[in-house]
Amino acid sequence: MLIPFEYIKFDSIKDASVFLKEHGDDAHILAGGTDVIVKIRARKLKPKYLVDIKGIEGLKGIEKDRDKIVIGALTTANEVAKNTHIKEYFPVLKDGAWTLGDYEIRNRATIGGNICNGSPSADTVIPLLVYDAKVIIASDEGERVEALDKFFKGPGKVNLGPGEILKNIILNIPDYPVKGKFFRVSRVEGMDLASLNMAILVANPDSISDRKVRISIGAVAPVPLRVYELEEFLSGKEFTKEIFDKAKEILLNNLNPREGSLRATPYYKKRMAVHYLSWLFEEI
Amino acid sequence: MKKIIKLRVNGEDYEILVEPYWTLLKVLRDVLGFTGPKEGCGIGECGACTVYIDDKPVKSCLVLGVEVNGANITTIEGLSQNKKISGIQKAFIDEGAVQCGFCTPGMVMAINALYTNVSDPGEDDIKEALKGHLCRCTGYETIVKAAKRAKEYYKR
Repeated sequence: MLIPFEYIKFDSIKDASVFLKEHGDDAHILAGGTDVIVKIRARKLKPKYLVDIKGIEGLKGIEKDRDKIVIGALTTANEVAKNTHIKEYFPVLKDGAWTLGDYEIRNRATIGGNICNGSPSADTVIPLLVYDAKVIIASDEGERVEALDKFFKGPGKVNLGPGEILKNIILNIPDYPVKGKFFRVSRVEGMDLASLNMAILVANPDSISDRKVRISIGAVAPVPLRVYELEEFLSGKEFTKEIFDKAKEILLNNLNPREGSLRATPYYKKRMAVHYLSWLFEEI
Repeated sequence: MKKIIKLRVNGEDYEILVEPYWTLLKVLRDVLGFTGPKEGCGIGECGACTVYIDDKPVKSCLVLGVEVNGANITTIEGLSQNKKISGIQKAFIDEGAVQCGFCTPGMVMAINALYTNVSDPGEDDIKEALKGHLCRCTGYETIVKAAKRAKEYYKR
């Protein structure tokens, strides 16, 4: 049984934004509901108003705009995973989206909700980070663009001001060859949150001097983590045993998994991250 | 404050009053009397409440009744036609894929949805479709067998 709240649905960002501003912490956005309803049931969230944004035009679907892909925040995880543009240009995101929850959850869960829920191990966020995604945030006062990497403030906390709504995710289609992979481990093979998830992307994999590496890891820090120090170290390097040993050290120095996680010990998470990193040295 | 919603369930139209905090599952069971979908966990993990919204399977415990205003809902009751069970249901009976039966409506809905999307699903597809469905009698093997056998009976 859910504790009582009022429900209000808007068909414009402007109206929703004004309402959200007016009611502050009493109001909470509802998109797919697969996190919000669970939190309400657990009494972790006690909104007076649930503000359904699913009636707002322009927040759904995936469009190709010249060299960009624009994903509406209300696009479901299944729609992301099955989209031809995403499969063609952003396969690491396709794989991440397909591991989120289960098939039924993915029919409701939205990519914008997965981002705004602020989980350090969000399965669409980890791949989006290695593609250098940007987010467009809208309110009644206008829009702003932000790098997704700057959007996370802590567990469950994102950089949304009063009345602000995540509108779109923007991805630049790479005009250079890339190779990438999404990794994930969970306690059981059935539906489970990630104990650790990780994305690796290599631009220009076949040219040692032009190589650029991007790595993001979930569930090892209070926010989804881009490991910039390691990326810089690996870019332009030949992937030898000596480089791997040094890379491992840099990786481990950057991880700070908390004690007391329900899903995995810090030791296990670190071992898995090193294991996934070895993909670079074996497959590229 | 209660709101009026219109929805179609298994081909019949309804106009009902619902509280905003009632889940679709509660609306189906307690207001409309469709007790096929079950409440197991209530947090989207067990799959016993699976129904279709506009032909897409969802966990109805994570959807609000007010969200489905204007939608077309299918429950397990809607899979049978003229009091004849569907091929998927027959396959579950043939394989004895039912123990206590609580998870069965959700399992059947998941497999039926799989067959509408994939014409010849393999074992991996079946297991992926059943990922969010728990059977606490631990009878998964017969359920997977039934899902395979359903191929013989499934009519598009």
